[in-house]
Amino acid sequence: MKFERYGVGIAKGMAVTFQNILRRPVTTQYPDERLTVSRRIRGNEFTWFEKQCAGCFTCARSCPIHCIEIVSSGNGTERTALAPCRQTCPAGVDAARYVRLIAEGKFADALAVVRERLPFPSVCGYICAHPCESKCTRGQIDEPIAIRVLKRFAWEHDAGIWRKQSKVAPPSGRRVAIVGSGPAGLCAGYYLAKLGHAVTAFEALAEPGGMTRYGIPEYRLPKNILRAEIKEIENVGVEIRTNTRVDSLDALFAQGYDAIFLAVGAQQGIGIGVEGEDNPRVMGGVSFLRRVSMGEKVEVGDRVAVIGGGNTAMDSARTARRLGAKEVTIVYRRTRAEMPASHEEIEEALVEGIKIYFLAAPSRILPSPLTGEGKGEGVKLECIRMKLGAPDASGRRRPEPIKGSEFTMDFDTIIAAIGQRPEIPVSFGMKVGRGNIIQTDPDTLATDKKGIFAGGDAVSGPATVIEAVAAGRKAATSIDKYLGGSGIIDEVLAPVEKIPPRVAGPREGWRPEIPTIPYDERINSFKGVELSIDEELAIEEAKRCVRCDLAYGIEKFQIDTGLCMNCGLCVEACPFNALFFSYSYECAKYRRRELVLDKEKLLPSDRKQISGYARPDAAALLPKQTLLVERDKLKK
Amino acid sequence: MSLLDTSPINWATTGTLSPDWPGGYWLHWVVFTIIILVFVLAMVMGFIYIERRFVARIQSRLGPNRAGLFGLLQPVFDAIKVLVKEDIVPAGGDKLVHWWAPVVAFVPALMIFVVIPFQDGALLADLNIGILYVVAVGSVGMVGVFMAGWGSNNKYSVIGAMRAVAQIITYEIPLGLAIISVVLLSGSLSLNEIVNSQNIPFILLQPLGFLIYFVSACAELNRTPFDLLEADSEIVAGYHIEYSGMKFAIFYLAEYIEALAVSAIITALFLSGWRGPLLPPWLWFLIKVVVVFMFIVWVRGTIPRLRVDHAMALSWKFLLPVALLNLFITSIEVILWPLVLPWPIILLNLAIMVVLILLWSRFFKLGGGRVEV
Repeated sequence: MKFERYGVGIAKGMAVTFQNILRRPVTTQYPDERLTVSRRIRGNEFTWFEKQCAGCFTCARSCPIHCIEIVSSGNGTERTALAPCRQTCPAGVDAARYVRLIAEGKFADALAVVRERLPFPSVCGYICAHPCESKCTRGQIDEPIAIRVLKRFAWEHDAGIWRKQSKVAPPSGRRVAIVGSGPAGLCAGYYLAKLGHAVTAFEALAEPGGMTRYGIPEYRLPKNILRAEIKEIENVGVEIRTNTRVDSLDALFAQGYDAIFLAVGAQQGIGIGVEGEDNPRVMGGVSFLRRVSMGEKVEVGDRVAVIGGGNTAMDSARTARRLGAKEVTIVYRRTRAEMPASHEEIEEALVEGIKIYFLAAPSRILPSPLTGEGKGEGVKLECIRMKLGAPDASGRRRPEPIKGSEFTMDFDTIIAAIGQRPEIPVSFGMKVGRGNIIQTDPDTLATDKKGIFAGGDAVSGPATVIEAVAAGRKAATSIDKYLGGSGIIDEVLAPVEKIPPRVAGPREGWRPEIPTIPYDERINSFKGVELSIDEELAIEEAKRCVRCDLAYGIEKFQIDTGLCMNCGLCVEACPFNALFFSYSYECAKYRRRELVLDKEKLLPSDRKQISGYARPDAAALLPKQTLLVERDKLKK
Repeated sequence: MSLLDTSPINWATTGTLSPDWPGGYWLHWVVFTIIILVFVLAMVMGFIYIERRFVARIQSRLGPNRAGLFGLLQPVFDAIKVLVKEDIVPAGGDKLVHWWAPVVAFVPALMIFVVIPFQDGALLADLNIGILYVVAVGSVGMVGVFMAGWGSNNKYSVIGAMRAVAQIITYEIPLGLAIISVVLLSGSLSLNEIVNSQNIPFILLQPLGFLIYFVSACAELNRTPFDLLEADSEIVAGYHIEYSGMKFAIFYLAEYIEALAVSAIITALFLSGWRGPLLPPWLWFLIKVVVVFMFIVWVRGTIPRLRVDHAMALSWKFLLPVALLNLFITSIEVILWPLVLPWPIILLNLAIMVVLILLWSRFFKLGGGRVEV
């Protein structure tokens, strides 16, 4: 379609030039200036699609000679469905809106916007995997907005105005049991409790929170913050029974529960499956983190190996470093590009002095020599070198061992963190699929048993907090519908506002460095690594947002064709494909005439009447205003 | 056959000149050398005038209209002006290369006319590899451009020269492939023979070949929309930024001589050369050359300059594959239906052109993703 437009454009241009040959030349002259100018008639046909334009000024910024002029009326209309951050977020948090509110200094409103979709703003503010940032429009220009950090900032400046709007429905008389009190379970419980159901969450361990409590180390997510967050959830009426393991779902139904939500998570570490795995110095990543989180003293020794490349491996390695290990080594069988751990986590681990062996896989675990120095302590890890082969189903290149390239390293402890899977008791009688995950209907999260729903890591396999929250929201909707409700859990917490005028374009500059605590403090304690940012930095960062969620009424979009050299950079820079140009004839003749006439405006007011065209009929000879016509067509 | 024996009207109907007209090897050589020099210089002056007036009309201007009748003397005055201008050689430049560059650019352009037939047999040397000679000699001029860019000790010059070389390499290939299609139809490399074999102009039998040749030739000429090597708004004037006076004029002349040569080659390859009814053959040849040149000027006056990457993409991603397909299809036609009536073939080739262009445009993508700002 585009190519045809090029063809049509060229043909149209040839026709216009041919008509010009047949016409008498038109020149304009200003008597007082003694200057003869001709109409400019060559150039590209630029088409601007108003409906697609977000007014983000990306084109104007990309222009090397600054010939694009955008005049915005400042009257915004909301068009949030287009904002890529909101589209990407599993829970649908309206990131663009709260970033804008932070830029305006309304921090409490910003938190209310987050709360509309997310019952755990602080948890997500600390540890969210932020898929939104990878799709951020600003990221196409330089670097994405630090959305997660701003969320944490909003939570820290909470004034509690969201509580005014937060309503709990009158009791419905229905009871829901939630098995597991991780983010998925508590999120579902929170929304179900707000809908008036009596919710009881059963937790096998001593404290609620699931993986956020027992999987994520203290230095990433301080426990008191998680407790405060869970307190909020208990405030709306969720009863949490800790130290209560559920063995039978039928027993729950017998106790009078109308529906059950299974959110047991993926708690069971997968073994590495090599010879000598049952050595007492080998432990699983999840169980290691859990023991540390419970406050147990775990002796790891000086030299620790962590096997795996995911976030659990990073957490284990950094935790081991904090427990006093002098030398922590991560062994991963692929390369850095294939590592599933988040980029920031890997960076932090490297900063903390953790070594990573790429393209190496354990092949055997041997006890240390029984004689000589270091007798009976530690283990020998035999690894084999790998090379990358063809891509597998996940799109990552499959590692293949290189024969005869075995090498051994000595360690005191080996932590295997190569993956987790849900641990579903057989007594539940659930249908489980590959990787021990519960089979559900992806739209409703209903299992094949009546009244039983499942979600979170137990259904998806190990995933992120924000995905668990999304599952919890989905489960709350379908459980409410199952119990006879409407299933509407959306709420409006932030004050309804008129969209403010845009005072200035987005701020220039790069994303700031988020302050962290120094290295020495890190390896000696479990203090939170990331520090909070101050108001000034938050506002400055929020002002970088290009506000692609809003369509501002663009009054004038003008390319000065007298300057434009038709490079097309603006067309390629536009994130919304709102600009199009063809190698064709300029339809901006109209603009040129305007520019010529602008000279009139430069004259003193008492002499305006004497300037004009040299030929009285010259204005009538000017070609039709094709650009204007095209724009009018588009508006219809 | 001598000049006295043959009247102009007979030329129009029979009109074949003997290879050593007007008699004798050396006389032939002297007469045609003079003819070519006079023809080229006169035509170039005319072309400069035509182009300036024609582009002016396209842009709603008047163009040069003061010197002489209708401004006809403007090229003469321009020539006088450049002759008396100071000749500047950059202090840090490579003086020898800087001096030789205009010569190297000028001479090959002139040498092309050795094989251009003005009418049947009326050419300096009827080489049996005529069109191959044209392609070979025509590219040598680019060495002069590169020498100019290198010898000037100026970064814009070097950028312009680099672009010139890249462009010539890029567009030489589809150009050559389009020529081969014509050669397949005519069965000869000699330009005289190619014209002789055109009972119907090859533009009808080879519409796609003509299109490819025309676009590639425009690129070889370095004229807008392909004048990347002297893109004023980007690299000031490209390779000849450090040239003034007569040396600059020689580059300027060489450019127009190449334009004349391309017009003449298009006339010979696709528009059946001197052949035509009623008028004498040399007049037909002249008319066709001027018309082709005016068409080139028209394109120049319409289409703005391409960006570098777009120009490269057009050749590698579009012209080259389409030219290969065209060559393939032409070969099949020549093998399978050598004697078939022309009209079905003409319609078939037109249809093939439309289908190929539309089809290939589906695979064609300009640009290459977002540009970092």
